[in-house]
Amino acid sequence: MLSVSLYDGIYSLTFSSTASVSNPVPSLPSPALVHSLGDENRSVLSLVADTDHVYVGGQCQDISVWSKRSYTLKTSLRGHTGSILALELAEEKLWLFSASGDSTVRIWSTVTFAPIYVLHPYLETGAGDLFSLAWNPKLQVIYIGCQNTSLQWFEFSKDQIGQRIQEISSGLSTPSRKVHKFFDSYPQYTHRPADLFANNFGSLSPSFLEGDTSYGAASAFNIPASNVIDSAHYGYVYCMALISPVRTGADDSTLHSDGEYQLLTGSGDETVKIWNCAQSGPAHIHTLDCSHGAVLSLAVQGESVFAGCQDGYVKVFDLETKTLIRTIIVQENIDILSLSVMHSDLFTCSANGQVQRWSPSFNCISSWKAHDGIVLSSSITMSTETNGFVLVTGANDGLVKIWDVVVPLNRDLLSMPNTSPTIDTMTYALSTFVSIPSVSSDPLHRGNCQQAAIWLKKCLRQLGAESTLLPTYELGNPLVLATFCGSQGKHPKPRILFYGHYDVISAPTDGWDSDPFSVDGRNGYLYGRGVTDNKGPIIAIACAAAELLRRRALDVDLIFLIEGEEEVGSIGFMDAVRKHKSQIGHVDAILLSNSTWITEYHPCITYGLRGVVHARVTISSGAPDRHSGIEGGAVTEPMQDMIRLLATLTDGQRKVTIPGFYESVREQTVKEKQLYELLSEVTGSPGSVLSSRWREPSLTVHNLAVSGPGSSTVIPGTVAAEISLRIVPDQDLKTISQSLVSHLQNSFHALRSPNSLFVRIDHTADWWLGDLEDPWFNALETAVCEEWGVQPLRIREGGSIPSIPNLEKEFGCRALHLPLGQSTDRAHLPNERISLSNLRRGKSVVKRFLAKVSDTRAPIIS
Amino acid sequence: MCRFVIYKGTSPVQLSHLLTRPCHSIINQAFDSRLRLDHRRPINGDGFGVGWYDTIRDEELGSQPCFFTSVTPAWNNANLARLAEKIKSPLVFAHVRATTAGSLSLDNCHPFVFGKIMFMHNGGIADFHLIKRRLQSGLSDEIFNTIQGNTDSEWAFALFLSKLPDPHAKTFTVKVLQQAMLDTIATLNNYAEEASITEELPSLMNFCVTDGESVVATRYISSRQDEAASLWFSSGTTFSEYMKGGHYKMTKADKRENIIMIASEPLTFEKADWMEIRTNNMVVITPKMNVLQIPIIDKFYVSPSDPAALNRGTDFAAAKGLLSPRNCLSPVQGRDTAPQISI
Repeated sequence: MLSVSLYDGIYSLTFSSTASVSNPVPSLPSPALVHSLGDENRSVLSLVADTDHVYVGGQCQDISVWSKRSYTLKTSLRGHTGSILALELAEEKLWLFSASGDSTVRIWSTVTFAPIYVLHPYLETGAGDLFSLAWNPKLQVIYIGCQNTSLQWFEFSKDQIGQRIQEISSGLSTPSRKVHKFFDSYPQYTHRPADLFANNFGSLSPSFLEGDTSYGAASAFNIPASNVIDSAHYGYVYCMALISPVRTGADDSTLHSDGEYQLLTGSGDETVKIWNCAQSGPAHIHTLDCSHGAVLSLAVQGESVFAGCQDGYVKVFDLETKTLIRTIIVQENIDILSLSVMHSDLFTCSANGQVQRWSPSFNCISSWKAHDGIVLSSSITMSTETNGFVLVTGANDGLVKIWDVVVPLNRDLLSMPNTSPTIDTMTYALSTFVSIPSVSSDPLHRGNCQQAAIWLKKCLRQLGAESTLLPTYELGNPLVLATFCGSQGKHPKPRILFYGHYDVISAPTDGWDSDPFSVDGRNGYLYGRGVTDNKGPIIAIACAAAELLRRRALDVDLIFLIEGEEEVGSIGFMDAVRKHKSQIGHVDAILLSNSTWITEYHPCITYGLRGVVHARVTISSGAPDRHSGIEGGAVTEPMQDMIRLLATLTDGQRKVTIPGFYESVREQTVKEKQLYELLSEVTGSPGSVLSSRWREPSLTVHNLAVSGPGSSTVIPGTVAAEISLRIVPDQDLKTISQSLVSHLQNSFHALRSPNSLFVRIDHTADWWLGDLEDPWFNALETAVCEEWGVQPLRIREGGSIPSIPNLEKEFGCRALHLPLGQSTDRAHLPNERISLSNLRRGKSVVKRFLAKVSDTRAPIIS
Repeated sequence: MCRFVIYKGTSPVQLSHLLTRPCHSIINQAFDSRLRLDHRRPINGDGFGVGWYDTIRDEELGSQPCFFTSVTPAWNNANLARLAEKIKSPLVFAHVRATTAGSLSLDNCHPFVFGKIMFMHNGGIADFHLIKRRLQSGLSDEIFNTIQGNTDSEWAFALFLSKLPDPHAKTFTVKVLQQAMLDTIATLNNYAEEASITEELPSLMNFCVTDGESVVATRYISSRQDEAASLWFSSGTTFSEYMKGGHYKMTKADKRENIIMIASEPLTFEKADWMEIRTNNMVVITPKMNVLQIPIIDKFYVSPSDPAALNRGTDFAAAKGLLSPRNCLSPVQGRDTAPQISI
């Protein structure tokens, strides 16, 4: 009966130091980290979760309420003036209990998050820190484990509460701060008796100020002396667990047929006590001796009681016989601070940040480094995404981490759908996509770009599209072409082309808080290179199509055309498109999602982009560099020519002086003006600034480069300048380019310089302007409006995407630009991120849009 | 009137955080005690002592504590202030002494040390002269000869040593120290009974002892009617000054304790940080930093749930300036006729 097995524990020690191949090896890989919550300056001491929220208590005095779905901070519950040491839910009452080092228990609504009651233990602060809580739903009693070794309880049945409130209102029991002999005393020489105004705290103490005001918020109750068991233990009552009268695995159900709950308490005195929960209070029935340091955590599963001890031991007791049946040595001398049970598996959380999972036969089946600090709390809760469970852990590194602890049957890189019940397909696919560092600017990553293209092709195929790769040019990154075919109807289906790019900008690790090529979920955001530009939107839109397809509700063809060199100028993209145009087929509209909202909170649709002309201007003397002390004054210097030449491009008011430059710039309409006024209200920046950025042309001189060392005694023989023009409707790209070149040549000619001028147009992109009256645009706007409940802002961008006007011209149809992310997404910068909620709702917008445009016949664009 | 403070931590503390800096530090308690009611001699400057163990064990230095005592007032000793700024230790005993009778002598300053054992007392053995010879006769020659001073406190320490199976042992378990402490109190009670010293004149036995690993302290009085001398404790993860003026606060960032302090009076006025140790209880700090509060159940024990526990009188302790603040919501006037007792 009494068997102590050291085998598992010894094995787990060897596992943590060396990867032993001997049996039994932890058979499961480390679970996937679904998301992290929190900031890094508070210690997480307690956590609990209901269906919608995770409640986190810690060193700081507020309880954080996190949304389980969006992983964002919903609210903070304020009132305690000490660390939050324990949290407990009364789910049937929709109450949250919090116990604190300030010697109060507070009761909050889990619906309105308003404070309901404040409960003062017997002896108030004399009870010390309140370490543990347990709620008995049958008796409507909360049990409290105290630092002064007492066990206290309070009944919340309707009768009891009514009676208490009556006592308070009739003045029989007035909860108010009493004068304390010491804490409210005056220095002896003053000969003053103690009173409430002594203020020994100093004038600024927050605990003093808040202590009195908090009574206004909620009714306060005092636990009477009759509801106290003094010296319930000899040590602090660190932990509690309630044993339900109905237990799975109990052979003899008649044994507890009285239907009473039992309470377990664990303490610093190295024991666990079992109490019968009677109406009159807990009655001690047995003491279980653990003798391995303080019992800091307790868990119950069926007939087994797990006691997590300071020494790194878990003692397993059988409730029926009240005997020790097993000792698990998790990691010797590394304190176990929290235990959680899922089905029949036990999770142990250790002071060194390690979490281990134990099978019902007490084999360590998984072991991973969960936190950089001490894991202080844990909980198992239902996942909001699926029907599975997640493990939530909290540590003194200030983080709460959510782990996908359900074992998938088969998890390889590509088999996403249906394998992982807790991580949704979209997040999982994006994680894999981001893990491929497809940096197009770096030849070393050429292989990764190919890999990303192949992965994306397979991913889209798994989501239900027919997919293929299209070559561009020799050594160029291929295009991914994939078509989600809608169901056949009476009318010809509209065909929408989604354009995106799978390449990303490089990401040196400097400035990143996490690995840029591994998606890290923190506080509702996914972090990683490419999550917003452009991998996240690609996956969100692909998932939108896949979900409609699965429901047989996709009534359009959605063609994915994803290139791999957008970040390096889309070289060869249009040539490849023209070459494979027949394969791509007819297109009715173009959709892309390659920018962000103008602010953090207001959804937007982008309807315009500026064009660009990049030019390189070189002036050369045709001779080598010279010494300025010897030759200075005797030669016409290329640099001086260059300065004079560049000066001819603009006047003193930043106006471009190229002849005819502004001739074809479209006049601002009254409607457009109103739009800028509205945007100015939302963004707080003046409308004129926005219009200069978006709808006025501009000229920029980027740099001046010289031949030779550039030192202050050398006359450079050659000087080169990089300049660019941003152009807007209805400036003609070719005309503007030509007039730039001829203006430079004419101005240089006028200088009568012996030096020679070279002008080269490096790169151009045309402007793009959507049609706000277009039915496609209206459909998209309505979809955004329906999803977010607000009319989206119509915005433009000052930058350029050459492929949009090119694709419009090539396919003879309109483009639509739907940004998904927020202005704070930091594309191209360290800590690039996208809000998980934006990604999910963006997916939803696209689903609505696709449903809408299939309702009517495809509109013909003239 | 004596006041003491004990610190045990997982990391060493700079002595100034206990002795000099907190707004109600042990040195401030020497002249601004809030829990003393006799106003005849508000200044308590009859010496002090501080004892501490090494942070890192050194074979050459050995495992015994170092201790520094002086008969000058604690607040006026420049050496103490200097040492407090430069010494760190994971286990500290500090004591300020006030005699209303008896000699002012270096030998009479607490703490007392024997090998690695360190001991302090706050209180007084009633009519000690009636049992002194009886106590001494039970001691071994070695223990008898180690006694240097002439106080009841030091003889109580000798009695404690005699209750240890081997006072020279390299290690002591918590259980051994607990038992020796209980035996010491029981023996003193027996001697008092033999000498017909009645409950009318109870002994105040707030003892504390450590071997450098565990700490055992008592808040005890040989009476069912009176309250023992005050004793408090505080535990948490960090003890730091949050506002100028010695306003220290205990924070809690872990389930376990990194710092445990036991003191005659709280070192700060943060009510939630300090807990009173109940009368006739023993408080134990285990080597693993767990605090145990164990009732000392004998004929003087009154269960806390017994209404009598709330009605223990404070006059006796008050008379000696050893007031416990429990149940004192109205000010009690000091008595000019308080008996003079060495404490």
